[in-house]
Amino acid sequence: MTDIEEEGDAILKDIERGYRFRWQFQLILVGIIIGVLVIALFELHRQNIINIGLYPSALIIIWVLAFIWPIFIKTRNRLYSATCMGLFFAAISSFIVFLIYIYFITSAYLPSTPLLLVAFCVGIGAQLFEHLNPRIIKNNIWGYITIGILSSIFAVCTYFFLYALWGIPGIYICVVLSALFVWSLIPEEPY
Amino acid sequence: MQNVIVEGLLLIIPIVAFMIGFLIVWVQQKVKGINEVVDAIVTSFLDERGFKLADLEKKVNLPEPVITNALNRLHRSGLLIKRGAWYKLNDPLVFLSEKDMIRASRLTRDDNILYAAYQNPFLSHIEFLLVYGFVLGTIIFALVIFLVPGSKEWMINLIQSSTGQTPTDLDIGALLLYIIMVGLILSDISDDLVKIWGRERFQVVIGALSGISYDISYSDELSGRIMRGSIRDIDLDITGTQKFLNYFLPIPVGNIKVSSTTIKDPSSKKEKGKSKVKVFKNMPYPREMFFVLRSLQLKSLGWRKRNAKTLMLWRSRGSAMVPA
Repeated sequence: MTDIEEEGDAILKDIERGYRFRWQFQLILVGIIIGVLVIALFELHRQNIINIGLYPSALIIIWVLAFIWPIFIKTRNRLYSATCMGLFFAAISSFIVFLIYIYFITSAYLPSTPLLLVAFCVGIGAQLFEHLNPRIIKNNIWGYITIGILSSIFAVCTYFFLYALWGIPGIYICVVLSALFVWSLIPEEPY
Repeated sequence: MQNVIVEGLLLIIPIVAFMIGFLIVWVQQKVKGINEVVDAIVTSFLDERGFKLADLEKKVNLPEPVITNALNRLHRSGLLIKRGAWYKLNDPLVFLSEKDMIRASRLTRDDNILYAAYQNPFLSHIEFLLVYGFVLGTIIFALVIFLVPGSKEWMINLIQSSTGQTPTDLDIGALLLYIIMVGLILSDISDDLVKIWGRERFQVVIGALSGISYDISYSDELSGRIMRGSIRDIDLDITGTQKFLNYFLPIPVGNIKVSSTTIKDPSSKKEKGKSKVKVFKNMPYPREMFFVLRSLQLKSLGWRKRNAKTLMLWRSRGSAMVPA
């Protein structure tokens, strides 16, 4: 076998695997982190240090899992992509349900609070979506329409909150924040 | 106890949501004909300047819509450049943006580009982790407000003085979450800026005839050159830090050292000048770059033909997308 044939075989064998952990170990690492988190939350509850409750604990676990999944799991296949989308749906729905639940048990709140929470949901949802599914939103007309809708919701919420707080300077800050929000959502070019 | 039951029941919602999200992607129809189309492109058009749909139809026994779908998928993956009715093949190891690829083609006199990517000179600069200070700072601020005695009162007084109303924990929580999100956006943008700054003018292009062309400064136009005949030695150097980072980074990186001999007097090729070593830092997929350079040094690109299909299928899956 010549040098060139050896090189070719090496490429055929493992393009990506040469740099990564084996997929079993990637899953074990995720399992270890989630396991440690579950134990920590359980111990915090058992020793009455912080009583977070069952649902908020589940919320924390789902969000941590959604954050670490693309960082630790490098095997790119259909199962990975489907799990990413599933985690996004689970993370966002769990957070929305949590907010609704908190609303039910909180008797009073300021008028600006729902706006801030909607802006937060839009912002964090968009960032999480980009983190889990970086190739879905593209630099095309549908991508820009999606970004436009999300940014408009964010801008309106921010405007009402900041204008009520600071008046005209609040509008300036709203414009800057909304522009930054749009920029952070525009898909990054591959290179 | 009742709370636990309610919270337990609420857990069903994210579980159902997970299943919905999972199924949306899982049941998506696969793009048919990718394998056949890639096969035909590799067999017939690997070294061509371009091809048309009609050319491909002669080679592939599939209906036109299937071929068009497969071509669109390859175009979206960055493997094909579409110019009107013409498709131009991008090598699977080209990681430049379309604009920079056109520039690289122009500067290498339309050479057959085998590998092209940006160096990432700032990847190992730990000070750039400071961009994450925005989000970390806001998280610490939020924790301080809730955990340090007296801080919450300070926040309540601040909101009271602005709105004239007494905020609840939910109000304070909402405001802090909003601040954390702004921190996250600032970190994201700062991270983009650092990467854009780093990649702007640090291209490395390997052409079949032109050898290695690279940028040596921000305003450069690939003025750094190592001719393929002067490559003396190539070394793949993945440091411990890079090896560790490669387990988690979207794209694996490594250093490539190229030793070359400069010709001192062009009129007398026997008289060799000093050898020089150029290190390309944090190159994406360094082993593949090494293979390309090695084959270039040996003046045989046979390996590329043999592995083109695998590389194209790998790239068409989107594994090699490098986010800026």
